[in-house]
Amino acid sequence: MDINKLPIKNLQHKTGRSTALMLVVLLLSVSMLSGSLIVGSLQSGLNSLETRLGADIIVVPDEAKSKKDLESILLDGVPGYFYMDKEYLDEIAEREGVKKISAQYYLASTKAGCCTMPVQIIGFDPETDFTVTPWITKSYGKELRLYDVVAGYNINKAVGGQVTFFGKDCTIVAKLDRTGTELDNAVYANFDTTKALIEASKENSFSFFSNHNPDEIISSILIDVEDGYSIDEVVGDINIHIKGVEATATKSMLSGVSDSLSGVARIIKLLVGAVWLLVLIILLVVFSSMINERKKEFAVLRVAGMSRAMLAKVILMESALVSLIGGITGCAFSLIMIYPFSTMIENELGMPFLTPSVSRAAVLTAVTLFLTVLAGASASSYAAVKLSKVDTGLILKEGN
Amino acid sequence: MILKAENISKKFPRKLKEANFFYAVNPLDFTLEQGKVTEIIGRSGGGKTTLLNMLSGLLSPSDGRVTLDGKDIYSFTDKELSLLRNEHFGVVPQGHTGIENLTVLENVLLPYVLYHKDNKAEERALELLERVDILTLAEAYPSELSGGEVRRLAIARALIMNPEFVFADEPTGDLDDENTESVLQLFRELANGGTAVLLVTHEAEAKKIADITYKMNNGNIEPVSGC
Repeated sequence: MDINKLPIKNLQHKTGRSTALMLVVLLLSVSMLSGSLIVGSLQSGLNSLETRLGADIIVVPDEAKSKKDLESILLDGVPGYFYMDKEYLDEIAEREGVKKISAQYYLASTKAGCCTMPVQIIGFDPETDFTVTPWITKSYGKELRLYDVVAGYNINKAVGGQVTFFGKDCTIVAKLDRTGTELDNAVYANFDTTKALIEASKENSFSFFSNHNPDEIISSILIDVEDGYSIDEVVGDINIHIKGVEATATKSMLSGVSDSLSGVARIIKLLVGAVWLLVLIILLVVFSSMINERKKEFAVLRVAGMSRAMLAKVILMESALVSLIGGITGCAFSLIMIYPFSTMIENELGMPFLTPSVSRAAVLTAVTLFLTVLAGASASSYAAVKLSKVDTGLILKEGN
Repeated sequence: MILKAENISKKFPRKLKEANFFYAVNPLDFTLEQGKVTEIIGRSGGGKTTLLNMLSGLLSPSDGRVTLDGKDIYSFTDKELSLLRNEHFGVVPQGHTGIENLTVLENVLLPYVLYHKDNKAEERALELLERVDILTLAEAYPSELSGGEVRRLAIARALIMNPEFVFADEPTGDLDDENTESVLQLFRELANGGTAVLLVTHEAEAKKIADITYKMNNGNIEPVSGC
C-alpha cells in the first residue's frame, strides 16, 4: 500500500460522489472554454472580414438599398448583383486622397440547371486589384486564366474540380483559407472570366445586367486611401462631388456587425462570469459539506499519525484530481461542441465566426484547465484549513 | 518512557446564564506507567474520553501540560507531535473508525505506510488480524464488517507500530463475551511486554486485567480502593 495513492483510492471507492464533483467542475470548464472560444471566434471573424475586404472605402451605385445589397452579399451570404457605369472609376481615381483603386463585379449564379450551385461570383481586375489578389497569390501563386476560378473555403468542390456557371465549365484552381464569413461561400474570377459569364448569362436568358455591355459596367469600386488622409473625409468628398454613387467606409459598414458582436460578447462574458461565481459557490459548499461529512475519517488519519500538512496534501490531491478530470472532460466537450459545429454556430449567430488556431485553442485550454484546478483546489483548501483548526479529539468526540 | 499529566484541565464553552464554560476535566495529575494496565471507569460525560484524548496528544489541555520524559508534548510542532503519535502512541478511538475506502488490511497498515515506503509491516499486520480473529476479512472493506469486527480492526491498527503507549476508548464496546475476553487478554499481554495500556471502559471484565483502576466523575479522578 502506498499512501500517495490514498486520494485515488478515495475517489475510486466513492464513484458517485467523485462523479458529482467532476460534473460540477465540468460545468466550470465548459462555461469558460466555450465562452472564450465563442468570443474569440467572433472577434477573429470580424478581423478576418475586415482584412479580407482589404479596402478602406467601398463605392457602390447610389440606388435604393444598394449598400444594403452589398451588406447582404458580404455578411448574410445572399448572392446578389448591381452595377454602375465604368466611367466612375476614372472620376473617383482623380479625387484627392485616393491611393489605389480597383473595380469588382458581383454576379450571382442560380439554382437553375445551367449552374452547379447558387453562389456569389466576385470578379476582379488582376491589373489593379489589391484586395483579393494577395489572398489568391497565397493559395495559388499563378495568374488566373479564362474560366479559372478560386473558390471560397466553404465551396464544396476540391481543387481541380469543375463547376458550371450559365453553361460554362470553370475549373477550381485554388481554395482560399477560411475567414468565418460569408465570403467563404463566394467564387472569385478575373474580369475576363466574369465578363464571359455575364455574356453566357445573357445567352441563358438571365438579365442581370440588362442589355449593358460588360465592358462598360462595374459593380463596385474599392479604394485604398493615401496615408495622411482621413478615410471619412475621402468618403465625404466622393459623396458630395460625385453623383450617382455612394461611398462607405468599410469600418462603418461593419460597425453594425461590430456592435452586435460586442453585445453578444458582453452577454457571453457576463454569463461565463455568473456561471463561474455560481459554480465557485457550489464548489465551496460541496467541498465544505464533503469534508464535514468525512471529518471523522480525517480524524482517524490524524490519530494514525498523519500531520496537518500530509492531510491537506491528501485533500488537495483529491480535489485537484477531480478538478483535472472534470476540467479535461469539460474542455474536450467544449472543443467537440465548437469546432465541428462552427459553421452551424456562424449561421445561427449570423455573424462572422472564425475559430481560433490550434495553438491559440491549446493556450485557452491550458489556461482553462489551470483555473479550473485552481478553483477546485482553493475551494477544498478553504474547507481543509477550517478543519485543521479543530482538535482531532473534539472531532472524534463529536462523531460518537 | 514516562507519560505524565501535570495539573491538566479542559474547559469547553457553554452559553448558560451562570457560566460561559464548564470543566470537562478539572485540574489533575496523572501518570501512565509502562508495563501496567490502567483502567478508568465512570459514568458517561465524566471526562474519561477527554482525559484520554489529552494524554494521547489529540486534544490540547486548557491548562497544565502533558510530558513525555519531561518534554511537554503540546509544545511540539504538529509534525513532531504527529510523528510521536505514529511511533509511540497507539490509539483505539471510540465508535466506528474504519477508513471506508481502504480494505481491512490497508486500514491496519495505515500508520506504517504514513512514514514508510516498504511492505515490511504486512506480516505483522496479518498476525494482528489473526490475533483479533478477523484475518479472513483482510481484503474486505469496513462497510462489510460488523460493529465488533470494526472495533477489532481499530485495535489491530493501533498496535501495528508496536507502540509504547496504548490508549483504548471503550475497546470492547461492540464485542461479544468471547471476543471481549480475547481483546482484554491481548492488552494484558501487551502490558506484560512493557507497554503502558490505558483503558477507558464500562466493561466489568476489564477489572480482572487492570493493575490500577481510577474512577472519573464530573471531571474529577480518584483511585478505586481495593484494586
